Amino acid sequence: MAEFKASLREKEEFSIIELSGYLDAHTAPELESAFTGLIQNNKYKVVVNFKDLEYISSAGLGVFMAYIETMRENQGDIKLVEMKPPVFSIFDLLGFPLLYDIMPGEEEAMNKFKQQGA
Amino acid sequence: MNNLNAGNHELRVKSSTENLALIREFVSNEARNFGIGKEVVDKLILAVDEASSNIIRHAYKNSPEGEIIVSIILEGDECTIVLTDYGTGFNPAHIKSPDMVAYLKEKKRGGLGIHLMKILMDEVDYLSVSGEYNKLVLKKKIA
Repeated sequence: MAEFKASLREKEEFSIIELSGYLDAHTAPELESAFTGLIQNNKYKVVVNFKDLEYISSAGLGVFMAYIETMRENQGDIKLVEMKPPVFSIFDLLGFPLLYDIMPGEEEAMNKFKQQGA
Repeated sequence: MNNLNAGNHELRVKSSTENLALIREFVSNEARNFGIGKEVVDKLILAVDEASSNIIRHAYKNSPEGEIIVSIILEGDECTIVLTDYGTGFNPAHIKSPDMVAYLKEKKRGGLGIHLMKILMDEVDYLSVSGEYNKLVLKKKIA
């Protein structure tokens, strides 16, 4: 059975969501609740670390689409880091790099937030 | 035609999202047994996941009691995967491929799976016999 985990940690003023396993229509609700929890706590500067994510389907992509606007409306963003090439290729196929910051690592993402005056 | 590698294999599962992992594993194993390369196998897996997720959500309206049949056939250099369900029909041809920039800005979420299927596969065909069954046929050249 597919396993998926979205674990949350704080780093400076940023919220880091670490993903692992398989993100599909079955497991996407778990990521949704992670984002819902952040919004409830007024945490809008989010870095999602994909280091251990093996797989993503459109149900997973849809989660990022659902929450990006709320984050940006509140002077935050969702920045995506450390994607494995097969996972990146799905984001790329759908044109996500045009609208999302997809970056090598957490440091780069946090620096970009700081440059943006976040 | 060289039919030495031809095969026809089938998986029947209930329409629960929990079974998506099983469906992916089935496609992965069968496709690799056919000797298909990883890059194409990955595309087949994702296309079938998207198709199955759509069947669960739209044909069976998230009821886990429906049936999904996935069959995979290799003929020559073409892999054909057929997904059969007995739920409500829909036609992916009627779903337009979105302009992704506008799409992402509008925060829409539906239709992405079908868009992906069309990008990943060489051919996506759909047959719906009202009140009886729906068949989605995905075709991909493997060489």
